[in-house]
Amino acid sequence: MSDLIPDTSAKPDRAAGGDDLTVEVYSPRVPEPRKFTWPKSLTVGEAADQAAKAFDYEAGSPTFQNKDGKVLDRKKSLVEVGIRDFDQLELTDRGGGV
Amino acid sequence: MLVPPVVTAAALAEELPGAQAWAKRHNVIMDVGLLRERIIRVVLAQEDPAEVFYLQGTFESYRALPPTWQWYDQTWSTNEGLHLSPNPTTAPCGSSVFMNYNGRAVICAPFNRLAYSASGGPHGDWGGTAQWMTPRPNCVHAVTTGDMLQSIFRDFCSTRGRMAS
Repeated sequence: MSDLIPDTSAKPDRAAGGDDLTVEVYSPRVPEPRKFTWPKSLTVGEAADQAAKAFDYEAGSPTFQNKDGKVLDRKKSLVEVGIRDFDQLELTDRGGGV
Repeated sequence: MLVPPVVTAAALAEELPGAQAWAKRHNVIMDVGLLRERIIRVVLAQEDPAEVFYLQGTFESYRALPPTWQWYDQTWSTNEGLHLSPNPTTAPCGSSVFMNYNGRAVICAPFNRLAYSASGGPHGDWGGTAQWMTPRPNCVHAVTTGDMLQSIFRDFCSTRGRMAS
């Protein structure tokens, strides 16, 4: 069999965490966090939109701030911005001051 | 007064558990001892250089109107002077909410009453302060106490030193 054909039957690599990651998202609106499991390839913006909806946000441009205080780029994927399994993220708005 | 104090108190009571949990998560000191006067105080600290900043939110007629957010000295006796404000460097989301407006340190966001021209701030283009919850493109949107604090903290994390010595 050719080496060029990908093995699509392979199970996700558990040691590498598979294709999904599970994070805890906090909102400044409520004390308790919520857990979300998302594909690693999901963009930060898509994930933040889902989280914001779950916390009843109705407007704005949500994103996450990580434990290091960095505000994550909505256009990048979760794995690109370095989010890992069990990370804790704070929901925040992406809009600027003026 | 647009809103009876009891209505404002009820709104704050609903929002405070989330805001206080937020403060605890971020090691921010929050003082709600003056809640009867509709005042919330928080203390934010920079690590390098080690500087401490004192922020007061006054929630008169909240939520019909936004609160006022102002930097104070450590005795909470004056809010005059650029040195009371953190100095914005690179903001993570475009322009920082911290600005020097005609020699006054203003937290320039729709959730701060002092950002509106009616209160001496720069913005006559945002409509009246009663429209503070209207989303604006590219502009920070925060309509609860916790969200406001998080938005301020978000940009505070990118400040260094004081706006003036």
